[in-house]
Amino acid sequence: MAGLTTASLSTLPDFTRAAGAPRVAGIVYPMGQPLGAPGDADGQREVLRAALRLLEEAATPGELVRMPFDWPEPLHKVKWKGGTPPPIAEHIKRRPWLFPRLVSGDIPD
Amino acid sequence: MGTPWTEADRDATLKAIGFANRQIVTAWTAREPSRETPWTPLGKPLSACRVALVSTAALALNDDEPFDQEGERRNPWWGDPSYRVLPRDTRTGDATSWHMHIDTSVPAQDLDSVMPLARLAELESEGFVGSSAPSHYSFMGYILKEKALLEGSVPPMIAQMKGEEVDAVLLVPV
Repeated sequence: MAGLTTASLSTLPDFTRAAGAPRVAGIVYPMGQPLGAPGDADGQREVLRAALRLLEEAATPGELVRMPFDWPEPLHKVKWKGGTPPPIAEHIKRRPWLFPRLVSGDIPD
Repeated sequence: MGTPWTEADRDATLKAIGFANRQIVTAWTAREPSRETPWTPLGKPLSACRVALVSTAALALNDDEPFDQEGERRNPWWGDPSYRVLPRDTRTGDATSWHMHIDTSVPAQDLDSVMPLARLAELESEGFVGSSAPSHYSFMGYILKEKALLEGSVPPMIAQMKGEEVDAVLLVPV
């Protein structure tokens, strides 16, 4: 059975590539908004177009390219405006000796 | 095509996710086994392809079942491995992001920041892609053990894509 042709748009493309993705569009945007900021329809459309182009233009399995777009401020200055704290963060804060298990992938049941 | 992804790009994106996440992502990246990369060439021009999107933003239509956040609160090492289908005409306000590891104010303000269905419809109108598929898909990206996702959710997503004659898929890990 034929597979499906895929490309991935990722803010952590080295991680995506390592997981075996065949065509990876890396973008230097904040985690959680890979297409672009809310309301920026023009920017989102060009990111989508560039990522889809990879479906057609990538020639080598595992190709990773940088999307030609830049976020208007340094990424580490982007503040979250909402959301719920992840339970694992509080869990590990209270039991710091478990952090190495998260890093090593030795995940409890 | 495009420019190479550089060490500076990697450093900028890793710096932005904070110290603990950086350690986790770097270790998980290094630990991935080397494997053969799957490769299915696109059989026709993009302008003739039916395209589906998959977003890991844990999006569910407002009248669909939310992703299980209580289960994750009970066991923070667990993440809901199920998936939801979003019809092609889903727009901001029609779906909610049930994800505790991203800034959910972003998809609440603009679905297309994580699942660009309106933008894909525009690219269909201008003929850049053949069509946006009838159905698109979302699951929740915090999955530390992938077995249930790979065995329970991925096969039915693929089956539905094949049933709807999808040619190409854009994966959007959020």
